[in-house]
Amino acid sequence: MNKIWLIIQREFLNRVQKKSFLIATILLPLIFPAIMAVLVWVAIEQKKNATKETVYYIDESGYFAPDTAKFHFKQFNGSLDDAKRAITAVESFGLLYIPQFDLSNPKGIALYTNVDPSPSAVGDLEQLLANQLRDQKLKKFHVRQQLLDSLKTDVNIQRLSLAGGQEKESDSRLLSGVGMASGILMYMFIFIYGAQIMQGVIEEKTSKVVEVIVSSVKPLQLMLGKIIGLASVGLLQFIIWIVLITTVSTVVLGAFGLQMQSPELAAQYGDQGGNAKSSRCAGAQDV
Amino acid sequence: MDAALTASNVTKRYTNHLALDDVSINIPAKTIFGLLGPNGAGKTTLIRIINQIINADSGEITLFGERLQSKHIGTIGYLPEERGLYKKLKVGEQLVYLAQLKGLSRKQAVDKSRAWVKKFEVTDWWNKKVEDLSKGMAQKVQFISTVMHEPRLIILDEPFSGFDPVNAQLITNEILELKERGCTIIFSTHRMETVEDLCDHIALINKSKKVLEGSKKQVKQNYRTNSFWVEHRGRLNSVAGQFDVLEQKSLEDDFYRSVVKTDGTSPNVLIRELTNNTEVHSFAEKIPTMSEIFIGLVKGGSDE
Repeated sequence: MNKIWLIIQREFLNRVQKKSFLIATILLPLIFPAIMAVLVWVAIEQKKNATKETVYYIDESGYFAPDTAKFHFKQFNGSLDDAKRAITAVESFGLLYIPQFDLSNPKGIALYTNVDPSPSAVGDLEQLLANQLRDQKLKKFHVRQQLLDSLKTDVNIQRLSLAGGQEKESDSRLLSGVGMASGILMYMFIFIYGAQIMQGVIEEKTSKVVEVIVSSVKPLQLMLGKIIGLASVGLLQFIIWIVLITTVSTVVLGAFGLQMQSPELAAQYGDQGGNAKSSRCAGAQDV
Repeated sequence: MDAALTASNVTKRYTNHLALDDVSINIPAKTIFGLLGPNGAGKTTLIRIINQIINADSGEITLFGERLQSKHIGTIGYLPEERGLYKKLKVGEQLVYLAQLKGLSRKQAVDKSRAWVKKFEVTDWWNKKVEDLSKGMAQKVQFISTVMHEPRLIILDEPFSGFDPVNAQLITNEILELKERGCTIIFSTHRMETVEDLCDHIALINKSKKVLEGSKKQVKQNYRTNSFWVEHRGRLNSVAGQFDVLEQKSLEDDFYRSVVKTDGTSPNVLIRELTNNTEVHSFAEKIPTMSEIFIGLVKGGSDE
């Protein structure tokens, strides 16, 4: 027992006194929030700077109403062939061609582009058209706009946890996020420290010191000492990380993160509002 | 004489070869015992069994009258042939750690390592990492770690490899001092001059079997060949029925040095015979060196 304790001590001190341990332990909690901050910053900048693409369109059906939330739409007057030629010369996202079609079976809608469009852009366009067609159909069935509007009901469930005998507001998304993060950490932890134990054994074998050691202790004691020693190093590092990350994150998010989150959210809400309004407008026009 | 270590009928088999075949050895206490043998003979296997790194398949080992068991770890000091220390560890920490593993308390370990470091005049290495030391320096540290916990049985596997003559002398003196203090020392080596100088008893292992055991004097006695060195003036020829001249080397002027072999006649008779034939200037019995005995036995064994 005493010898295992000696080996645990040795392994523990060995790792803790290394510079790499200090660096990893202190830098990682700083890097983590820094990466988060950079990501948030980049996302916000992108949102700010994103210029709307210009889409030319030819609408033969008469159903399409340009919605400027995500694209600039410009009507092209002329035949499809002219438009195709023109589109290659002009800097634009593409040409949306909407032929005459049966409302119940829309066919032949095409997007001509100079470069391959991103799936999300195509998705946006499809969503836009689908929404407009739905509105058109509803109108065809004589559903009034007020009725349409009143169909949309926002339901918000308040989450309350009774765990611990107290009613508490719970956030399952946050909890599942924490769960996933700890899962990843655990996975990494097992990987890294398992590899370190292996490395330690290899080191002892290559430096031949193992022959001296196993003449003093049983191999089982040596291995057990190594595992427990390294595991306690890992736990120590973990605790330091948790403490540092929570403090640094609260400080960073408190000072800088909350500011950033609000314009982002505002922008999102603004987008949604715009969408709704314009589609309603489009509907109204047609009626 | 008390036996420090007795191995009786020790056999060890690895998957496809027999490393030790029914080896029995008796190592007298307070002596320096040479464990000899060519490469791969099984010396290291025997040493590892004594160190309890591996177990023998059969046979028994007794240490100072007791059956070998784990409590004996602290009474053995082992210097393996393949030297090794923790490279990243400082010399001082290393010595203290290894001594503690042998069962010393921390305070004892620190005191002992300080004392030994001082004795070997390497105090300024205390805070140096082993990887910064030269090979010879690391060897010294390893030697200290082997003898620091005052083991009663010290096993040294090729202790002089990597030492310069000055340090080899230092280690030799240390070994002799340890013997004076009552330690038993097992030497495993190929360097026959070391055996010649230091060992009291020897055992020779060849091809997993013990082929020779006994005190150095006795072994040499057994391997006498009735040969004599003779320095003489003028050439010397064999005299049938009296002596044979095995080899003759010209020295200077008209002097020669010859190896003369008789078939068991006493030296006096031989001298008388020689003076009849030549002018004798010196005469000495040609006692076989350990090296010759070793080569003779190992080669003889492999010719069978």
